[in-house]
Amino acid sequence: MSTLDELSSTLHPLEAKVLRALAGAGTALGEADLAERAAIQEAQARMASEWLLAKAALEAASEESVPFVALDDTGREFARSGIPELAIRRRLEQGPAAMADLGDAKDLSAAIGALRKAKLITVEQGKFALAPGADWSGIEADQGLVAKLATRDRWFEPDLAPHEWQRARELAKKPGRSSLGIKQGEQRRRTLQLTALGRDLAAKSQDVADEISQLTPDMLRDGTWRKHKFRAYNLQIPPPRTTGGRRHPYREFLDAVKRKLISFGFEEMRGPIVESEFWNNDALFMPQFHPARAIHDVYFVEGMPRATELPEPAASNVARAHETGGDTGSIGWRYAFDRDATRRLILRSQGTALSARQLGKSPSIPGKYFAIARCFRYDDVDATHAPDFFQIEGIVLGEEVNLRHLLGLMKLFGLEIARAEEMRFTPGYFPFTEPSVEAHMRHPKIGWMELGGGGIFRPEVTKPFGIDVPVIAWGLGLDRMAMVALGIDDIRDLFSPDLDFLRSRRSPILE
Amino acid sequence: MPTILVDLADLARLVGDDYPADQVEADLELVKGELKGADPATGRTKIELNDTNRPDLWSAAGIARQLRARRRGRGDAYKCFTDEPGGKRILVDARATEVRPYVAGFLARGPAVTEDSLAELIQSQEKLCDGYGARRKTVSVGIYRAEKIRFPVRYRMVAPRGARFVPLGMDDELDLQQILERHPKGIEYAHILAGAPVYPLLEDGRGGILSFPPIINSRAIGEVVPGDRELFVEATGTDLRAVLLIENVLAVDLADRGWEVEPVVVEYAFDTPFGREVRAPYPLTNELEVPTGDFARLLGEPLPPDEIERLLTAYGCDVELRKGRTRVATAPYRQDYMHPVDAVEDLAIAIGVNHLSPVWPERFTPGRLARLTLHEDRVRELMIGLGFEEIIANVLCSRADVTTRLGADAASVVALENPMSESYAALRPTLLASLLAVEERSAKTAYPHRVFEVGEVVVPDPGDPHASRTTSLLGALVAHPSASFSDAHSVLSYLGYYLDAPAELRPLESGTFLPGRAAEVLVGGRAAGHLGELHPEVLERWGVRMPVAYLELRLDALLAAAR
Repeated sequence: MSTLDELSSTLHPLEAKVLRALAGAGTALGEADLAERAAIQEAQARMASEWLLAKAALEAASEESVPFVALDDTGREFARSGIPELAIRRRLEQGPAAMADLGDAKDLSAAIGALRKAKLITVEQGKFALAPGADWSGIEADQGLVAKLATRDRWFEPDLAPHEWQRARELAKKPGRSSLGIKQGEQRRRTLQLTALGRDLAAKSQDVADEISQLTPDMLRDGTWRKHKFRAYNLQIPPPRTTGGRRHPYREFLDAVKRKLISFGFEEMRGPIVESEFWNNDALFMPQFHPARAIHDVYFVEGMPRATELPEPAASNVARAHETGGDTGSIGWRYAFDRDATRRLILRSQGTALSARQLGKSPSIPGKYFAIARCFRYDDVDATHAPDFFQIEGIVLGEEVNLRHLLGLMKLFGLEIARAEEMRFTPGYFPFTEPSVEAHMRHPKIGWMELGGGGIFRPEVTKPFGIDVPVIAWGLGLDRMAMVALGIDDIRDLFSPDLDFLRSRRSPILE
Repeated sequence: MPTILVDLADLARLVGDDYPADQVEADLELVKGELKGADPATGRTKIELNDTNRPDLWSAAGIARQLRARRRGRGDAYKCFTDEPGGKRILVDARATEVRPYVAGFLARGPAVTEDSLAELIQSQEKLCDGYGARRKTVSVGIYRAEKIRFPVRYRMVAPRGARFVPLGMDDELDLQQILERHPKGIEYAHILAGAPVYPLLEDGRGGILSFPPIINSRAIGEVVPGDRELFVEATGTDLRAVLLIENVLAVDLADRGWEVEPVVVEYAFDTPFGREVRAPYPLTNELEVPTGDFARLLGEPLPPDEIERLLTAYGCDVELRKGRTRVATAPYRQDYMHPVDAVEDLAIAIGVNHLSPVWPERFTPGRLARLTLHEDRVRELMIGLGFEEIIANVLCSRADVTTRLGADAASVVALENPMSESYAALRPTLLASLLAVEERSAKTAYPHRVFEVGEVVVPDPGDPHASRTTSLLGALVAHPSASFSDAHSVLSYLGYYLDAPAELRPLESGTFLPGRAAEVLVGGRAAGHLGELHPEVLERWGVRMPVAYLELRLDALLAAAR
């Protein structure tokens, strides 16, 4: 497509009208004349001319300064409510009056001065009166002039009768209110003419004479759309920016994980953020002297309140499992279990607390459960530690369940959730599972990373709840993947309050 | 989980002369270890050890011992557990029960201590005391130049000012109380002895002070230097089994490096779980009877009994096959067997978890979301349809953010006893602070702002067993130059229709909202949230220069009322 075609096909209808008006006139035109010839408003003519000047289709043929007269605020007020001279006449028609009775002396002094000079009023013993037989026609003509000037912003010489122009210029030279609010000034005016390109475009624009930009309901109703051509748009112009309702990208990621887990037959678990040490630790056979349970590793609730209810007989069974193994087939941790400390309330530090709770809710066998749980660890908040974070955890119960099923499950997660290209397992350690494994995977962008861990719940965890079948417990660490998908390297940004930042994040895709 | 520094060549040499150092990384799965790169300060290699119940693995010698067992097909036998004690004794006061009852010790003679072996010894001592001894609380270790000690050693309980000596790292003689107050180790560990009527002291036959356990050694006897050929290694603590285990671990570590270990007997003035005379190293037993079928049942891998025996023996265990059952015992430097599953894990490691083939769970189970989650997702979807952008914020916040800065009651919050910082000292009871934080931060982002979060909050509830409830809220915030009550009101009306939970409004007086422009939301007659135009005072506190309308709904109340 030639430049001419391209320019022509994207001409705005106003531009086409201006081009054709100038071509038809065959001479340079001012903007007012241009508007008239093109049958558009002057403002539209001005706007379209600017566009065409920028495209070098128009050029200025002449520029000149032209005198004009106009009203200022005072003049517009006089046009509305009358000039002061006439107000004075109205008052004096009711009889002579003192200065103070005429109104605000400051506003009137110029008018009184002028009227006395023209002998239209007289003064006797400090009172003003109308001069008998005086001719007020000059004053009335001034009032008419002010009223006329108020109907337009600016008046040029050709727009007024010669005597009006002359009188307006005369008044404009007077000081203060004597000018009746008439000002004069000079405006730069230009005439415009077509360039060579403009002439070509004008010729072409005959074709798009009837092109319009917007289809309207009226056109559809009366069928007139058939008479119109619709202007082709310039496809390269960027559209206005828009924003919309949108899931949070990290939530979108977690939603996808959730969907996957449901598709694998997992049922969701929910539970409280403020948790007892019983469910968070003791039910998971973490000994009360375990290093991760010290005051500096979990958050306690202010005032150190205790849970008022623990489930029985499970709570006693758990205490015995710690002390002697109880009926679990274990010798236990062999220490004096603190039955008060187990009631202390803390912030959930691991999602496994929900799995422990599930064991106490007569879970289905076979059964699969998962949770995406908000957890809290006593860590300094920095680029790798958010104040709180989500853990993805779950359990699988079944008569036939064994370690190879855990490996299969982790592999399924790796392939289906985490885009693993390769996986390997190493023995792991968790206080509540035995045997335990860690799953590692090769991610297409990150390389080798830990996918998660798991194991078979120790009988000391399951038997206190009367569960005699093996229970696989697993957890996934996907935050690193979410961060890569979102293009961030500070974990706190997963919870960023910066709306610009959030609007700039693309939606991560979990395959 | 401890991280230790090792010289890989040294570790490989301890495994065997023909063992290549580059094999270590692959074999670390036998000890649940991971290479973590080189330590820039020492040039040694960092190894992280994941099993907190296997302190015997927390040294180069310990790792090598586990690897060696596999190469040799069985664990090494250590004669220090069976050798007769040489007659040296430690005598324990009756009053030890009042503070720190147990002590054990042995002598070691061998190659002169070098800079490297001293560093290794100190590392073992620290890792064992920190990681297994609960930072010296349950077990602490002291090592001394044995040539300066005349036996019997006495484990004596004395008054806090009843003894004085020059502690390691200082030049002046201090009494025990002064050590707790002035010595860096005293200050660090004084809490272990807090409230004790007497303090423990180790003193030799001539009255020379060895140490003030678990705080600090004396400079005279308790400073081992390169060149020393005879060491006395003791441990004190509150759990005799743990004390003996640590002694055993230190003894086999030294034995592996060519030291001759001479057991020492401790004579107690009171009964202990191991009797009144207890030797160290002590032949601890940790034995399990495993139903042989359990191995196959839990690993999903059928193995003939003799294969089980071979693999576990090569993992260092003592195995005996009986009818239908397998007796498995750990070496005396391990005490991690509590339940037959522990032996099952040893077998899994001996097989190598990568040699077990993954299988997918076979049984069908129906997957489903929690009812609350379904409801949350429904609300989120409606909000997104309305053009709102979703936010996720943290549950931890500053107390001021959810009270004074919102013009709300300071008592209405669950706070933390031990916050790490003021910024994260409370649990949010509302989503308003989270969404105002977005406004506080996003003044330069093009308006209008229509943001929401569906998220958990924690509200105090004296009637709940946990004195609080975790509940899900919707918070929706609208900010633009003419944001008003009706912005929030129409969202409420929209949700009420589609969730089939029509709402009524009742005037609400609250410091958070402009008077007369706030309402409590009732759904089915129950309180279900509130909405209003934020008070300019609140907006000023958050530095927000744009009118804000806010709606908050309790999803549980909506869910209960939905028809």
